[in-house]
Amino acid sequence: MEVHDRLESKLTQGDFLVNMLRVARSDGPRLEQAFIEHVGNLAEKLSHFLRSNGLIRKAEYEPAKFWARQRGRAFGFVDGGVASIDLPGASPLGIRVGSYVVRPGDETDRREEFKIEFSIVDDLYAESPSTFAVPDDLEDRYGDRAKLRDAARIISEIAAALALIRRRSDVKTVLVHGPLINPAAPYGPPGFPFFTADTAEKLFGAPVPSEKRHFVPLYREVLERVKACSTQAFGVVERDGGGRALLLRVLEEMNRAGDLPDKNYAAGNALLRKYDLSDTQILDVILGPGEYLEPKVVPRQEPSNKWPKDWEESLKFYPNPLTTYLKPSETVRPFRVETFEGTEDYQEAMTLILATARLLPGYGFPVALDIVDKYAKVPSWLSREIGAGHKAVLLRKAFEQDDRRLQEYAIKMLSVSSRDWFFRPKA
Amino acid sequence: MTWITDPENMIGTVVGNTSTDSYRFILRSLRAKVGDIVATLSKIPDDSRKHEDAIIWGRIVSIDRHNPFFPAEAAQELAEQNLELINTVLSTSRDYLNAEVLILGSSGADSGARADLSPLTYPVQPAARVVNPPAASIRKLLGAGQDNAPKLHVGTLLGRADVDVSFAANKVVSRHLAILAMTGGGKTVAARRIILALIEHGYPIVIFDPHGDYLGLQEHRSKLPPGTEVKLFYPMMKVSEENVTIVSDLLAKMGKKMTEAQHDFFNKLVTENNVVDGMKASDYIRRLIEHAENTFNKLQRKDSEAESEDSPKKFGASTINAVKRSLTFVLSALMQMEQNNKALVERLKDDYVFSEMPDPKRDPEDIVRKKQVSIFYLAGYDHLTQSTIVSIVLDALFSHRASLTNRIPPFQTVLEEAHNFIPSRQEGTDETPSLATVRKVITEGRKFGTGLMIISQRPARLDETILTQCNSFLVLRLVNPKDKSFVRSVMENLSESDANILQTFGPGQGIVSGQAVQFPLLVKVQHDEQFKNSKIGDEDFLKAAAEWDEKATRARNRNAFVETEPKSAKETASGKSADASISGAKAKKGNGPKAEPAELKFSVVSKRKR
Repeated sequence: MEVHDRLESKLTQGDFLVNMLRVARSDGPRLEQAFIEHVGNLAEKLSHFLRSNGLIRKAEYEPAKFWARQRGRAFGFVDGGVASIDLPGASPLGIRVGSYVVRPGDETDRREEFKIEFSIVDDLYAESPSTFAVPDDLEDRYGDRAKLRDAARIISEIAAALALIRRRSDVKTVLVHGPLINPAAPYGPPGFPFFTADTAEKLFGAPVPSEKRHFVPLYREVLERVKACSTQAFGVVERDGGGRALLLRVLEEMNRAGDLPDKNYAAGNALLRKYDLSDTQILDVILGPGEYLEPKVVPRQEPSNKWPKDWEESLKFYPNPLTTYLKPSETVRPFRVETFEGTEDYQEAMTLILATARLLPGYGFPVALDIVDKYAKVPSWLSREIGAGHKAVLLRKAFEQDDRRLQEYAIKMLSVSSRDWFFRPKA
Repeated sequence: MTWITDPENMIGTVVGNTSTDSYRFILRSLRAKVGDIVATLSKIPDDSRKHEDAIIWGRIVSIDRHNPFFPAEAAQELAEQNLELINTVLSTSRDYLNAEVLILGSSGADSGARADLSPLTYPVQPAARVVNPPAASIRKLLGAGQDNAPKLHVGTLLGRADVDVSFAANKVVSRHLAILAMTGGGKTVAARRIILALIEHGYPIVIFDPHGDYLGLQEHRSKLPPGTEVKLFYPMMKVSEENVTIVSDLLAKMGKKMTEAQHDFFNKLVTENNVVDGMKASDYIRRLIEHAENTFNKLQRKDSEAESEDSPKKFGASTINAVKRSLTFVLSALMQMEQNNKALVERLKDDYVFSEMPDPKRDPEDIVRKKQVSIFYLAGYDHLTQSTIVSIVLDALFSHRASLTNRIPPFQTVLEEAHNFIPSRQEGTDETPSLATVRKVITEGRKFGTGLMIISQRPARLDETILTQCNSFLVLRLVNPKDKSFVRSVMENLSESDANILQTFGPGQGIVSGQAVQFPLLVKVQHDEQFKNSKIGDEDFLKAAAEWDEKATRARNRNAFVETEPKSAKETASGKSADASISGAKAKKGNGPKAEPAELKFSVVSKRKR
């Protein structure tokens, strides 16, 4: 399918439409009419540029041959689930990371293994058990609870992959649901708490010295361990996070290598910026079924000027992911695939990712990651029940007091999430 | 630790909303199946605001199986690419099994040797552990409260060969039992099992057998408990001084209702014809017909002469003819029956010992006796005759029990192919005298010990009033939707899911419910193969057709034809009416010289005029 045809077919999709309207608002009716033409030209130009420079590769989809080749090999898939519990006055944390190892062609009971590699259940500000160390003075505690939860989730997923690789040496490839390497700097500002010794040990699989129990060094350590293993590790990102990191990186590398004159580099950059399309959106138009962009190392910890001073040294040596986008079939959008630099048998791994994604032809995402996602996910009914149980305990405690005001306060606090006419002052 | 708290016995966890009627639980893979009895521990409050542990018993009525890790999209791709799932990364091992349990009741957690069931009054605790009880506990439950009561061993729990299932014998013999299944579902096997169990108790049994399904009991009588007698009767109507009313009974049951005048004339006939004890009813009826003819002839003569004062002329020609016609109808049925008996006895004389049916009014002891099984073999008789025999026999036996004459003990009647004897109104009940009799027996029988076992392959065609009087049901495989919904309508405690599994049963598998058991159970009926009828059974019709010697058949038929009716006469007769009309027409036109056919036609017309 030609670029223009692809573009026409994508126009009904929400984000293209949004972009078109956004551009139209800023540039007036003239550009509105010319949007398709301009974006088409951009895509055409990019496509021509990428193809003529050999930057587009293709993973073959011959499932019968491919799966026959994989008989007896073990593949691992990792994903984490977070319980969504929202309680006033508490910061519960419920994370579990599951793994699914499967050996295609094995007809024994040992073909599949499902395991919860990690589960963290506590309150962020509880004394014990605790994921993060609580400061002596509670006033000093870190305020951004969401960041604490994110940090715990990010590190536990890759730690689970490490645990799996250590436990199952027969696993040839591990796919992690989500980015393989996340930005670490946001979790390093002053005051961001250290993990407790227990949690750090659990995550790393061995005792961790106190100075390395912080997210930034510990995450890096875990990543380095995974990288050092012979098992290939990939992160497959389901959602389009926006941005054009990869395409910009491609242009930059070409420019730096002297293959793209400064003028053209600047023009290409300007075009990408002008139409504000993400890597996924542009590559969805450019790539054909089974095609992926030549993988490039994309710096993940940039910009360095925002690095927290305490962790600059550590962030400097963080591994960066070798990144690409793979488009499984004509009807689905490409997804991001990350791995470590120097990963062997890259092409074969991409063929595996393509073959597993084609098993979900309508959704176009590795089916085994969908399986492990469902396995590890904390179901909403469980989150709800935990929340309800917690509320009931708090309420009961309030009612054990004779203070009527305290009871009313407890009711208000636990039963309403926002202002409610029902609780207006009575005459 | 008891079995209820032993983690080894755990098979799942209760989920979702629970009630006092049912709950659902997530089942561990391959740890239980539909029909299994399961238990869970729960706290139940008592009157004094305390609560204590109770075992909640239930039966799995359905299991939903779902593999959330196998998207339909994947199946599409597997099919498209001709891939085997096992060769890919797809998962097959994480089935999600959601079982529905129908609650049977609760018993005390520490009830010791007894496990009496009480209705559940407080819902099962969500997240409770569900346990697979050991066989001993289920046995205790099934036999609760009736340890010393006589039982009828039926088989085992479906899928649990280590747990026997028995019926409460007294509930079967006094409260009636219906066995319902489609052809091949195992209803005869089930009925035979219960009959054998009753035989073990020496209980008298009367079987009406239209297909010879129970002849095996006589064939293998040596394998029955010592002292058991199996009598095989072919129907025979005889008259005696005591039961001279049998003819009027036959007339009534065969649908020949008489007017008052006809009745008077019939009574006159009976009064004027003495009964010889043990005389065949057919012979007696023949005499009555002759007598009626004589009366008619006398009447004709009197008509032709001047009327004399002393001739009462009480009965008109039409009355006499009507009675004669009714008697002739009954006579022809009886003659047909006797002819059938002759052929039957001739055919089966080497394998079975047939006896003439005793007079149920005069000699009920010959039919109902301790340790005796009386089989009325009804194969080959037309529907009306079969129904009449059932009606006459049951009527007489019931009267003996109901009049408390102490002549016969309580007995169990087995009615095979019951839809022929107790049809529903839609099926037409005119020619089924047994319907009224069975209705009477089933509604009043429990007082007099005349229990009924009704067996049918078409429940929807059965009389609803009769079926609802059955207090116990054994329902085997049923596929017909009408039958299934009918069964649901008459069985009080058959759940929808139970009705849905009826079509999945294999031979001999079924659900039993009602007073004969503590609670509805899925059973596998014991097959007593040694009592199977070896002489009459499933015939190989294909083989029979292949080996059919057509020439011999034709020859035999030709001979038979010559013997009964001369060929030439019949040919003449068959040709004559056509000829007569044609030639008659020709004669009218003056072209036909042949006078004979015209005369014949004339004679027919003239007879009619007369």
